[in-house]
Order: sequence, then structure tokens, then C-alpha cells
Amino acid sequence: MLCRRHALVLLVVLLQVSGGAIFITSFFPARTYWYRQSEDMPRHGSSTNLNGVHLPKFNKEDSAAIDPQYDRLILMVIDGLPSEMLFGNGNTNLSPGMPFTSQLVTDGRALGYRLQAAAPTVTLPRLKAIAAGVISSFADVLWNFAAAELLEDSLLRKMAARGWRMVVPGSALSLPMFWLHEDGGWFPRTEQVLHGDKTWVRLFPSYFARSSVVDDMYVADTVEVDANVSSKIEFEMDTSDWQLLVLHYLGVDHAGHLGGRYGCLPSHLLHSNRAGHFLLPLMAPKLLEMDGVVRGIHDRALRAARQNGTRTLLVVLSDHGMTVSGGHGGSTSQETDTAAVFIGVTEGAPLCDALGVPPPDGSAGRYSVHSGRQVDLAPSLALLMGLHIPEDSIGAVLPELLMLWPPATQLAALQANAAQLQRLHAPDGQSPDVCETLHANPHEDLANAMQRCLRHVQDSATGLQSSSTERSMCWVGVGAALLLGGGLLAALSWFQEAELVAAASSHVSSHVSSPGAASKAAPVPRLAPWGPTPFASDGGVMVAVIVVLYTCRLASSSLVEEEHLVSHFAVVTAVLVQARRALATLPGAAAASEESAGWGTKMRTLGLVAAVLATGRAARAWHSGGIKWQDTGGVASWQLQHLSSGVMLALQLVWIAAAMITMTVVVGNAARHLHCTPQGWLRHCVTGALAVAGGAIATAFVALAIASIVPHFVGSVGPTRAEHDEVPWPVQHLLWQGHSALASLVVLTLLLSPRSNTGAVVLLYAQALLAAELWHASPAGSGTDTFDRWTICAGPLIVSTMGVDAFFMLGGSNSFGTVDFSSAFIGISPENKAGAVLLIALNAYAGPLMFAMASALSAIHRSAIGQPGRLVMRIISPWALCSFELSFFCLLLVALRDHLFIWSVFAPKFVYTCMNTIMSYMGMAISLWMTRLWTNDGLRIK
Amino acid sequence: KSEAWIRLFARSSPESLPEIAVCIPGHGAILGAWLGAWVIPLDWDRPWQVWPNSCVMGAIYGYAVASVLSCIVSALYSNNKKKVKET
Repeated sequence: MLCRRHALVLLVVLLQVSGGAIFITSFFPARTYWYRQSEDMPRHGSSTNLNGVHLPKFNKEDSAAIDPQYDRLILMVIDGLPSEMLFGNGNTNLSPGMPFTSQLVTDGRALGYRLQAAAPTVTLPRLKAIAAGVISSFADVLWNFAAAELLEDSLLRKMAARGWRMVVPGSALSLPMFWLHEDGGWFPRTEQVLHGDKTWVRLFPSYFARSSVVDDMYVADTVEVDANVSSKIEFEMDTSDWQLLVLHYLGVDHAGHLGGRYGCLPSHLLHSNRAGHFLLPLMAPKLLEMDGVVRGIHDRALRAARQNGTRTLLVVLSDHGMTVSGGHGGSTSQETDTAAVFIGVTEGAPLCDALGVPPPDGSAGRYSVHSGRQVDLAPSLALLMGLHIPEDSIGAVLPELLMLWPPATQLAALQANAAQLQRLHAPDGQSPDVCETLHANPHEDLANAMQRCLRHVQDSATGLQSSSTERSMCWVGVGAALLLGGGLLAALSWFQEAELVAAASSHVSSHVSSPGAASKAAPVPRLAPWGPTPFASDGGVMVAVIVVLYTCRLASSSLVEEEHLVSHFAVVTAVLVQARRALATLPGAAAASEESAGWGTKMRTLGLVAAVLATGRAARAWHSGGIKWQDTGGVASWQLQHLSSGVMLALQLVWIAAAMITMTVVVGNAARHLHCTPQGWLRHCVTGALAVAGGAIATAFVALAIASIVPHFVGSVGPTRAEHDEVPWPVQHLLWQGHSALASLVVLTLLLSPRSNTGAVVLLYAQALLAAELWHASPAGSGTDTFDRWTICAGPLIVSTMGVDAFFMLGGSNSFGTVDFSSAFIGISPENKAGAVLLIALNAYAGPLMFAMASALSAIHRSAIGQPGRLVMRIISPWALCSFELSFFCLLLVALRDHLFIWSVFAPKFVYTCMNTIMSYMGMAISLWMTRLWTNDGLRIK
Repeated sequence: KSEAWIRLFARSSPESLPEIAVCIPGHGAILGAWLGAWVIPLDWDRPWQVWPNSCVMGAIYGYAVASVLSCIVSALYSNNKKKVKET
């Protein structure tokens, strides 16, 4: 039997791996649009060495299409600054965080923009969008999240072609997401965290003439990292041998990560000896400092303009915004809200006078802030600086800036933009030249022509952004078919197990005369030659129908976004249905002697139901995920805002004490019957530790040691129940090991997760234990646990759904932004990449793992006391569910391939579904390994 | 007393006409409220989506539909009973 199961599982693995690989590579094309340039791409090898400066060679170089308006450009990138914090917000009475800069805008000396960035809102893709005007496709994000050199045509490439000198002082930048968790809980000493990557230098490896970058970066530092940049400004402004100066300030982003958007820095992060719980304001002074830098550059540039007429364009911009808690990466409005301020410093009139733009709300004399998209920056900057527009850009020039030129040149600029977009649309030039169509009527009014041209440019830019991707549907079909085959096979094997359960159930119920089971017992199904018929088991069919209906939720983008609510709703419903089933058999028509025993079981079930619901509700309050109610917050953020660090520490200790007591009781219960010799005890320790983390993690050893020593002393206390005596010794051994492993997983999670999450972790541990009990205590039985097909078929699926629910309760979501990377390097060295990945995965999937382990242990226990069939069902159910969901979801993706949210909602969810399936395979492998051990010990599992 | 409650709402097996009139609409109301909850997370921004509007409306509609159903079931039930008596 086991051999056939193994073969089936192996077949499904093969189908899913091959199908998944084909599907993903064909459905997520590497690039949606790509202008293939006729000339060679610049390579390191072909660059000339000029004073130690590598400048790539370019074949094609011609004169500027349009007169440059400025001689040199300063890009001041303030990492993570939302436009709301720069300009303030009249609706919420938020005053401008950078008064000088916003004053420039309202006075008309600068043009302010709120620009919308695209997801993912992390630094590297955003810098690509700014420099090249491209939006990474989903596959780009997936495959080269930390991609090195920018291959697309970019502003900097155009500048290099023109022979500009470019300078980037002090922009050390770590991988953008590897920053602290918002509450700054367990964060490591930062010198060890990461080697700073030099993002600009890495993106544009051969372009910069001078780049002073700090190699190692202190990520909790909001001061040095900016001071390092600022210290170079004076030198660079005086030297003035460059045409592009890039200043990348990270302080605001760091301040956000440490203290949140409006944040304060908890004093315990200062590593000082000062007592007290006061908070240091962090964000406001940081913004003022940035404002001071802008003022300084502005003044120096003005002096230069007066002395020798240098025209400087200072652009203050941000790459992405931040949420209230300071995180970023997702696509909420707070994260995609970025700012750009064009400050033109010339001898002549201030910018808006030159533009001739009247004050929009004239009475107050205040110029308002315009809006646009982040990709529009690249063509705008290129035209302003008299460069060609980067060929891969999909932006449209910001119309307000056009006013800088005389009308004829404005039209030429628009035409340049239109022609470039046209080349992207049809690289082979089949369609008529856009300039000709725009010139159709030479007598047309210039203003009209410009309007038409502008509309054309904007339309084609928008069209390019939403253009659907081309896939080879043939390969997509092949991949989907393979995945579907795998999913159906998995479902079929689940049905066969359900069938065996039904057969065993009727077998048992014919021996045990129990009223609940007997009334529902079906006749023993005849076994077909290839196996039991799937539809003979009523429990299995009913559960399958419910699973299919539940899987249909994936078709709705909102239900995917709010999946934490959906899974919780499903779990609560299932638990309540179980309670109803327990009540249904309450007073029973049974004999009077059995009635009292029946009451005991029912009351136990109802108590478990109440406890599971209570712990679940409490844990759910910790995080409010999703999109729709993202502002409501949760217990975790409430704790961060309202509790001082001392109170939080005390709370944490209370939770940990509760966890330790639970562990002691549980593990002690499992270990009660162990008669340990010293050698045997040592063996248990080692095997248990191997079960947790392959023995690789030191913390697990510590946790295991605690978890294994304590029950050794308290093991003999406590009530003995009759059923324990029926459990054979090797099973006791296995149970004890398993519970120790579960306990050490909880301890490991407590160590890894932020301080505010402690309560949720402990509550979920308790819920996992209770739920495993609930779905094994059969409500239909009387004194002894008899079979109940519904519980056996649905129970494992519901517990694995509870695991998904727990994933969300611990703060996870279907967006990459919530993966907690701060846990990566706790307790291990930065070089240990595999360890970091393991820690991140363990921390992210702690909830599902807890539920899987608790349920497997409970199943082992139950099946050892004479309830065959449950164990295999328990092991394969989550895997069958995940496989089925995966194949259903790939069909759904094909059907929804033109959906508006395909990349922002469904594609990330698909990646998570794949991840879930991989995790379920791991869970099944561990379980099979454990049960194989068990058969070697001479116990039968079936 | 609790026995009747359990029979009606946990076991769903009414044994008389008044019990049918209580049991089936009651189930309909609960099921309707449960179904009504599914529209709450959708991003349509309609006023009736706000908690508890959709659930209340679902309960009312469920009750209405189940009331009609209970009439039919009652008719069948009494018909059956008559037949049983005649035989």
C-alpha cells in the first residue's frame, strides 16, 4: 500500500514540477516590451579608461534634438519620502515637513509633483523607473528582484553618450527590503547585518566618474548615512566638473523603518544606559535636515548662476512612499505616493515666471502641486537636459514643464516623445510614422496641434503601460494541463483514502454498537479492480464539493486581497458546524448507561469549540491585513503606539510564561510513560532536535534542551487516563519527541518574531493544540471514540485551513511586502545565506507548521489507540488540498489573463500558492519519514 | 426544553407543523446572514456592503425564501400524514 502511495506521490511531484516550470516561464514572460536597439549594448569590456573612469563607447551620437534648458542636473533622491510629508496635506491638516522646499513650490519658484509609483515599492525597481522610465514586469520582480546592471536604455546612458561626467557621493544602500521590522524588536547589531550594496553604482556600473560609497552600512543609523552624503556636497558644488550629481539620502527611509511614518524612536534602541521610556522624535528633524540640504544646494547653485551663469536643475524626488508603520513594498496609496520638485536655478526669472503659469488658485498666490506618474520623470528630464528620451521609457513628458520652451520647440519635444513611444509600440516600423500623422495639417493652429500631440503621447504611454503581454498560449496550455493532471491525481488519491476510511469505518461500526455511527454507517463498498469507487463515501463527496466551492474564492481579486478574513470565516464556520454536530447527538436515543458518558464527550467538544473560537478571535486581532481595512490597525500596532517598551517587555514575559507552562504540561503529558535510561534520553534529545531544524540552528537546541529537561522532572505528576496505557511505548516515544519539536518551534518563533507578536504566537500555539484535539474527538461517538467520516475527511482539511489562517494572524499576507526580512540574520552570520533563508521561511510559515505538527501528533496518538486510517488521511490531506488549489488556480490565471489585477493580485497569490504547495510537500515528507520510522519499530499504521 | 431546541436547530428534524414553521425559516435566516457576509470584503464600495447591512438583508431574504419553502414542506407533511392515517 505504501509503495503505491509513494509511486502516486512521485508521479504527482513530477507532473507538478514540470508543469509548474513550463507554466511559469511561459505565463510570466521575461519582459513585456523591449525596444531592440540596432546598436550594440554597452559592455564593460568595450569601455575606455579615462583617468580611471570607465566610459562606455557608443556608436551612434548626434546632436541634441532640443535645446537644453539647463547645464547640469542634480538628482537628490530622498528614499521613502511620501509627497504628503513633503508638501503637507490640507485635508488632514498635516503641515509641510519640508517648509523651504514646499515654500519654493507655493511661491512658484519650483514645480511640485505628486507622482504615482508602480509596485513593488522598493528602491531598486523604483530607481529603474526613474532612470529609464520602465515599469518592471512581474517576472522581472520575480526573477531578478535584486537585478544588477540595468540593461534598458536609460537617462544615464544617454548622458554617457553625450560625454557627461557623473558623480554619486555616498549612496551606500543595502538590498532595499533588508531593513528593520517596524517595531525594531529583535534586531541584530547592524555592522554584521549586510554589506551595503552600492545601488547606483551597481545599476550603472561604468558610468560614474566619482563615486564614494560606504561599504558597510549601519541600518539602524539615520545620521551617519546622510552626513556622509552631505559632507560631499560642498566639494562637489565647488568642483563643478560634472553634469550630473546624484545624491541619495537614506535617512528618511531608515527613520520610517525605525519609528514609523510619523515616528518616534524608542529609547531602548539608543544602546545607552539611560533609564526611562521616553521617545525621541525621529521623522520631523530628519525632514528638516533634508530641507536644509535643499536650501544649501539651492543657495550654492544660485551663487554659481550669478557668478558664471551656470544653469542648474535641482530635482528633489523620492523613490517610494511608506505606510504608517514605515514599511513599503506593496501597492497601497501611501506607498506609491512619491514626490518630485523641479527647482530650476538660473540667473533669470524664477521657474514659474519663465513658464508663464499663472497661480492656479490666484487669490492666495499659491501654486498648487501637480500630479503625474513616476515613469514620466525620465522623458521630462531627458528633454529638459537636451538629451534623447531613453528608448525603453513608457512615460509621457510632464505637460507643465513644456512651457519652458517656445511653442515650436514644445511641439518638437512632444513629437520626439511620440516618436519614441511609437518605436516601442511597433519596433519594426510597420505603422505610419507618428510625426507625419501629426503633421497632417500644416495650417493647423499650433496650440491645437500641441493639444492633439500631447493627448496622443499620453494615450500611447497609458496604452503601453496597460498593454497585455504576449505569451505562447501553446506552452501555457501544456503547463496548465500538466499541473491539472497533478492536481486531479492528488485529489484522486485523497478520494481513495477517504474510501479506505469509509470501509474501515463501517468495519469498526459493525463491531462497536454505537448509535451515532451505526445510523450513518454505509454498507461496505465493493472494491473496484483499480481501487475503491470514489463516490461510495458520502463524507468524502460532500467535503470535496465544499472544497471546490471554497476554491472558487480565488476568482475574486477582493477575496484574494482579504484572504485573511475569508479563511477565518471558513474556519469559524467549520468549528461552529462541528459544535452543532456535537449538540445534535446530545441527549441521544442511546441507552441510559451510555448517556452520561456521551454527555462528557459532548461537553468536552463544546468546551474545545469555545476555546478554539476564543483563541482564534484573540489572535486575529493582532494584525489587520488586507487592503480594505488596512488603516484600522491591530493589537500589534496599538502596542507599538501606546505602550512603552517596559510595559511591552513585561507583557512579553507574561506571554512567554504562559507558553512555557503550556509546553511543560503538553510535553510532560507525552513523556509521562517514558522510562529513560541516560543513553535513551540523549538519543531522544538528538533525534528531537533533528526533527526541528536538521540540527543546524543553535536556538533550537537550546529550546529543545529546555523543553526536554522540564518534563523529565514534572513528568510523573498529573492524572492518568486509561487510554494512555493502551499507547505502545514507541508511540509514546514518538509523541514525546514530536511535542518537544513543536515546543522548540514555538520558542524559535518567539525568538525570531518582533516583540509585539509574542501574544499572537502563544495564542496560536494553544489554538493548534486545541484544534488538533477538536478534530480528533469524534462527536458522534459515545464513550469510546468511534468513527465519524465527516470529521475524518474534513478535519485535516480544516486544520490545514487553520494553518493558513494562522499565517495571516502572524502578519503574513499575499503580498511580498509583509515578509519579515529582519528575522533573517538573527543569531547567524551574514555570510550564511542558507541559514538566513531557512530562518525567514520558518518565521513566515510558523503558523502553518505549528498546526501541521500538532495535527500530525494528534493523529499519531489517536491511530495508535485503535483508529486506523486517520494517519494517512491526515498526512495527505493538506498536500491534496494544496495541489488541487494550485491546478485550479493555474486554470484561473489563464482565464483571467487580461484582468486588471492580474499582476498586482493574482500573480503574487499564484507564487504564494506554489510556495504553499512546496511547504505541503515538505510537511508530507517529514510525516512519511516519521511514520516509516514507526513501521520499522514494528507498529502498523494503516 | 433544551431537547426541542436541539431537535430543531442542531438535528434539523421538526416533528410537527408548528415546528416546521419555526425550524425552516430559522435555518433560512441563518444561512442568508452567512451568505450575506461574503460580499463585505468585495471592493465595490456600495452602501449595502457595510457591516451589518448585507448580513441583515441576507437574513431577511433567507427568512422570506425559507418561509415559502416551509409552506410547501408543511403541505407535503400534512398530506403525508393524512395518507399514513388513511392506510
